[in-house]
Amino acid sequence: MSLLIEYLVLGAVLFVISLFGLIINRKNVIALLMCIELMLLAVNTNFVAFSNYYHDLSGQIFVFFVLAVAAAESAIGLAIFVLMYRSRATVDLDAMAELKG
Amino acid sequence: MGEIYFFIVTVLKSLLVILPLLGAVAYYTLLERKVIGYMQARVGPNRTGARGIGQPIADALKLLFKELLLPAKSNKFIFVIAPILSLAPAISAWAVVPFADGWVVADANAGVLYLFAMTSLGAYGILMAGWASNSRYAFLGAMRSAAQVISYEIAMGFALVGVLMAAGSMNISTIVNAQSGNIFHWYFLPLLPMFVVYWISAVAETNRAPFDVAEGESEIVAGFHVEYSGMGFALFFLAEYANMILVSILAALLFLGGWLSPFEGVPVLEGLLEFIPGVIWLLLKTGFFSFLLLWLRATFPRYRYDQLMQLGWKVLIPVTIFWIFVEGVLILGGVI
Amino acid sequence: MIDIVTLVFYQFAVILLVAATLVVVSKNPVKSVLSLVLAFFASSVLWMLQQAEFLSLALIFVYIGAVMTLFLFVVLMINADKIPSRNRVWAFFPFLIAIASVFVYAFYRAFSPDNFSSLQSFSSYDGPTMLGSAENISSVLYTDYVIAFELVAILLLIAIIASIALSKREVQAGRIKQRISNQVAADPKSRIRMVKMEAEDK
Repeated sequence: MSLLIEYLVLGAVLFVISLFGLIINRKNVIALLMCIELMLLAVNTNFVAFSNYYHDLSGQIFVFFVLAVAAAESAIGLAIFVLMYRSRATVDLDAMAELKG
Repeated sequence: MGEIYFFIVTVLKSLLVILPLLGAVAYYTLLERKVIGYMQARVGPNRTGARGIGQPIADALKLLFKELLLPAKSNKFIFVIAPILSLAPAISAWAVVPFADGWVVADANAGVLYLFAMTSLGAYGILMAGWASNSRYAFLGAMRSAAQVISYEIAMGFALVGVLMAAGSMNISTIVNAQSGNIFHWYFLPLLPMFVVYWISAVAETNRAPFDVAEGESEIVAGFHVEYSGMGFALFFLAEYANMILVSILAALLFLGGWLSPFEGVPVLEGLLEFIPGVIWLLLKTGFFSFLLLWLRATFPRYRYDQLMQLGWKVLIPVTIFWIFVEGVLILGGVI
Repeated sequence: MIDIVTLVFYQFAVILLVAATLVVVSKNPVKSVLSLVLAFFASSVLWMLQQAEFLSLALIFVYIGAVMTLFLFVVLMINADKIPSRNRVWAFFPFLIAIASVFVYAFYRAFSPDNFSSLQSFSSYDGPTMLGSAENISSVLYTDYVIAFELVAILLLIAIIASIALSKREVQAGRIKQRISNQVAADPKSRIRMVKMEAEDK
């Protein structure tokens, strides 16, 4: 019982939901970070499902690395976010437009 | 049908763990009041039943019938589920705790990992309670508590990594059986620094004195549960005491040989004490650590918050990392 | 008779999708974070069903226990009314439909049973431990993937240093700071002065 197709459909739907979230929340930094986490989760779910289907651990090792890199990414992302909130008192991405020509 | 049978058996096994656990929690509160009472030259509660034996039941009934207050501007949904979210992981962690060889609800391969996952969930109940209460004191207490729990989880994790390295397994029964032999084969001797770090961070993890800055009744009244009354308060209380017993039984299992007798292989004593079943040894060891928690509370004044953070990050974590290296060398040399 | 794995899968798949939707549409960021926690929890159960024992527990204690608590911390500290509003949600609905249909079509083409019939399906793993148990993962991780593992360790170290360097605040002038050396060096003579005086009449 591998349920591969079901897992792949689930991953696809999750990915679409989080992509939609990226579009509608594109002003809010924290929501963007959360949507990226959801996307990574969708991708990881596919990896885990395939890993079980082929009985190969490479997929799970890849998920391990994705988790580690995503943890680093969200730590730095949140640090930048806190810095931005301190200096601008807003979380609106449109406020970060200094470099616009 | 096999699945239904398995389901029913598992539910019964869980009840067999949870119900005595709740009883133990109830009487642990009485023990705490009595022990601290005698340590401070008082007698503690002595009016309900003979020598106060009915006090926990009276307390439970009182909390059950008290009115449940919801602060006016609180976030109702989160306010109500926060105590549940704090109790549920505290109880579900007990699924992988063995009481004797084979007496376990789920003999999971990654038992220690599961325990770790469950204890890390405890911070959510506290954070949500503090935030949903819409009170400055509750919020401060929740922030303090969550930061403290996360910081000490790292030290605790490294201390447990030491145990995993020595036993070569994450299954708790296997870890206990790897310590067989007499008292000198238990892990608390080769892993003494880990054991000390584990115990200090266990006290901090459960937000107990001297690390109870999250409650800090003299500074922020009662911290995160200041707005809770009746059953909500009782659930937080249950979670805290269930966690206290959990860290005590883990200390006994991982460092003090669990259900193994201390006199295994000792010529005369082994035969003399053979009639004592393993679960009694385990409960004795657990009882010692539970008593130690109360003793600590009666003895030490509260740490200041920055001192607490400094201890966690700058003392305990470096000590554990250093000892992991030492232990690696010892394992390579065949000492452990 | 539907078997129990499928039953658990559908339950937690529904929980996961509902939680993910809540993350995306919820206006209160605290609720989004808590929904994301629920989503991670549900997917950890789903991974466990796929024999990823170590990863699903690691997901709980690394992601829910550490990263999401960090998110929750940050979200609790900012003012909720500072969150920019999004008033044109439904304007993006056509995009959603377009994206979703492209994805569903692509996935249908890629994962249709016709393509899979050529792939060989394996029987379930019947070794002594689960496929993704900590032993199996670590025996691969520390041998075949050891360089990648060390690189990730360095990456995490860089992340630690970077986030501390970014968020460390300089001590502002005039802020009272504890000086431990002064406290330790203090002696009774410098702090208290005993004055001998005669008893006075009332």
